[in-house]
Amino acid sequence: MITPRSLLEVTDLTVEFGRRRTRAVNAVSFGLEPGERLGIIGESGSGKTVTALAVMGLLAENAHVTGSIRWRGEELLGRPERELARLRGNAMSMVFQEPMTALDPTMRVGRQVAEAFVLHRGDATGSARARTVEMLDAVGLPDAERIADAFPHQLSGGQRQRVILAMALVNGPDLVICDEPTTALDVTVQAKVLELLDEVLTAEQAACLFISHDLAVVSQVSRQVMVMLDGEVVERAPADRLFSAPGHPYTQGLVATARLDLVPPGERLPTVEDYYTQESRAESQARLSSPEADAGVGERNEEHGQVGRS
Amino acid sequence: MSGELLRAENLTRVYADGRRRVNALQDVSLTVAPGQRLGIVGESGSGKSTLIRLLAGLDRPTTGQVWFDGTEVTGRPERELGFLRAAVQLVFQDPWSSLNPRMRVADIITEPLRSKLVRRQLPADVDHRARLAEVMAEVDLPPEFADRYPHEFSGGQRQRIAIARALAPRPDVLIADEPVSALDVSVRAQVMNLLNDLVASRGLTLIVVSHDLMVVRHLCDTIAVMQSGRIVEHGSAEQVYDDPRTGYTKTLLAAIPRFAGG
Ligand SMILES: Nc1ncnc2c1ncn2[C@@H]1O[C@H](COP(=O)(O)OP(=O)(O)O)[C@@H](O)[C@H]1O
Ligand SMILES: Nc1ncnc2c1ncn2[C@@H]1O[C@H](COP(=O)(O)OP(=O)(O)O)[C@@H](O)[C@H]1O
Ligand SMILES: [Mg+2]
Ligand SMILES: [Mg+2]
Repeated sequence: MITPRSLLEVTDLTVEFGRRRTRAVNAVSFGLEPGERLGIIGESGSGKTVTALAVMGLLAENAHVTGSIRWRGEELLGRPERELARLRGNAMSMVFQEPMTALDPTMRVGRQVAEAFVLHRGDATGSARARTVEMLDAVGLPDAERIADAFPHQLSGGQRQRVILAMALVNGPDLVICDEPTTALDVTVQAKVLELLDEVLTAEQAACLFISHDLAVVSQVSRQVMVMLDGEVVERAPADRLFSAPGHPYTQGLVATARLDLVPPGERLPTVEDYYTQESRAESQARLSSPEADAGVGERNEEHGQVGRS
Repeated sequence: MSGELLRAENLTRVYADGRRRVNALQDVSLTVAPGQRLGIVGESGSGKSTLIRLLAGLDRPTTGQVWFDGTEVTGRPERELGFLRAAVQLVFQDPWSSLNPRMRVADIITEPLRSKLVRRQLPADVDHRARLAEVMAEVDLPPEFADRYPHEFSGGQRQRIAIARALAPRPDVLIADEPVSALDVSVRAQVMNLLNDLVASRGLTLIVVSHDLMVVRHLCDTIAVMQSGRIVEHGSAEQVYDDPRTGYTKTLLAAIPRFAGG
């Protein structure tokens, strides 16, 4: 009875913040096979980033996380930080929207890439430098030797995002989580970075969780797409089907409103509310904060807590 | 009325940035006719915001001239620019930072009506309360929002507040700098529909700056493409979008993310 083991298996993931336990993510489940790419779409505040941070074990102290996150079959929730830190940047890594905040402004970028490498390999600095230059070259930075010696502010936004990509890929991770990786970039730079991401993911056979509010961008990177609404997953489907025949009314609205190209200039654009009304939204939110939902999550928490400790 | 409302001739703008000199605009000329809807597109740093600040008289060109409705703007002291302040209003990208957090919505929206320069251009008997109610209705904001503060609202609602403020003095020209770039996809369409409706119902002249060619194509009848401080292509929206003449415009169009397999 051997079933192929998933790379990542998220089950009933629920995240609440603060003492008032404000729920940001509610009973989210999804799996990812090795090399698979899954896009996550949904309007801002729907829980995309919180889901990604939970997988990385990077949520703030005030986050209360329940459910289960299994990495190659092993529970991550409840693991000590030092074990998670070993996974991060090695087996899984993350690319954020704003490259400036992810880089140390006082350190040459080459050293930052090398540190990510050395941290996990314990290698001598000599080979780290070589690997760094190789990586910077691989992410399409011309004159990698010179770029390695530059400080972040001396690079353009597109160059900085490539450095981040190099850092995320330097240890050959099995999973790369990209959270709005091209949102701050110009379209021409975005197109190049997306092409490059596709190349390196393919070359490294890495899996990818790709978050973006731009549906067209998601359609280019991911064959599978999952839709989040107010902390819940409302739909998951192959990208071509999701974008051509969306099932949930909210997804229908998101897709319709993204297709500026299908509306003659000057004519009224469809909105999400045309498909998914404020009323139906209010109804499902009321359901979300009902006491029964709370009880259910509590049970799941205990169950998976035990699995995590065994 | 003449065939042009705004005219810019040979504008250059050089910024002194430390020891570096930045040629943000290089020899830019253009005219805008009444009722025209001009879109300005280009990548970040291409000079879009610099150009509209010069057109609105918020900044002065290093060389070159700007006229509004036949009157030269350049070279005139601020106290003589009342005619421009009333007639040209702006909406900015970031609805989070462009509204004063300590002011109530009512005071934010009527602020242009209280400006000394603008006031002299308006009829003496403008009823601020009545005007407030009118513009709030125009942008679909419920009247009870008037007594609240900006932080209580979402990005889309804030952008409606900013648009209401811009409409308050009954401007001829609305200039919007990346008006939907910071908005969620689900509210972008609402704000674009609002802009389209307002332009049609008020007969506004519209200038929209965006890095997104699709946004500009939808809102505008004319497109100017900027690169490194110059206008490299300028034509009807249809022509620029369907039959681009310059390599740069073609590159921009080709880079627009499209639905894979759709
Ligand atoms: N550290 C935090 N403390 C409290 N609430 C948070 C925190 N981080 C995120 N949230 C809330 O969680 C919800 C989901 O946020 P997020 O995952 O960032 O949305 P998205 O990435 O889809 O835009 C939001 O309501 C947000 O305000
Ligand atoms: N106040 C300023 N001081 C120095 N340089 C500036 C200033 N404002 C803009 N620039 C520079 O001028 C160029 C054009 O900027 P801007 O008009 O803001 O472009 P866009 O709006 O197309 O992104 C850029 O190189 C920018 O860095
Ligand atoms: Mg996010
Ligand atoms: Mg700008």
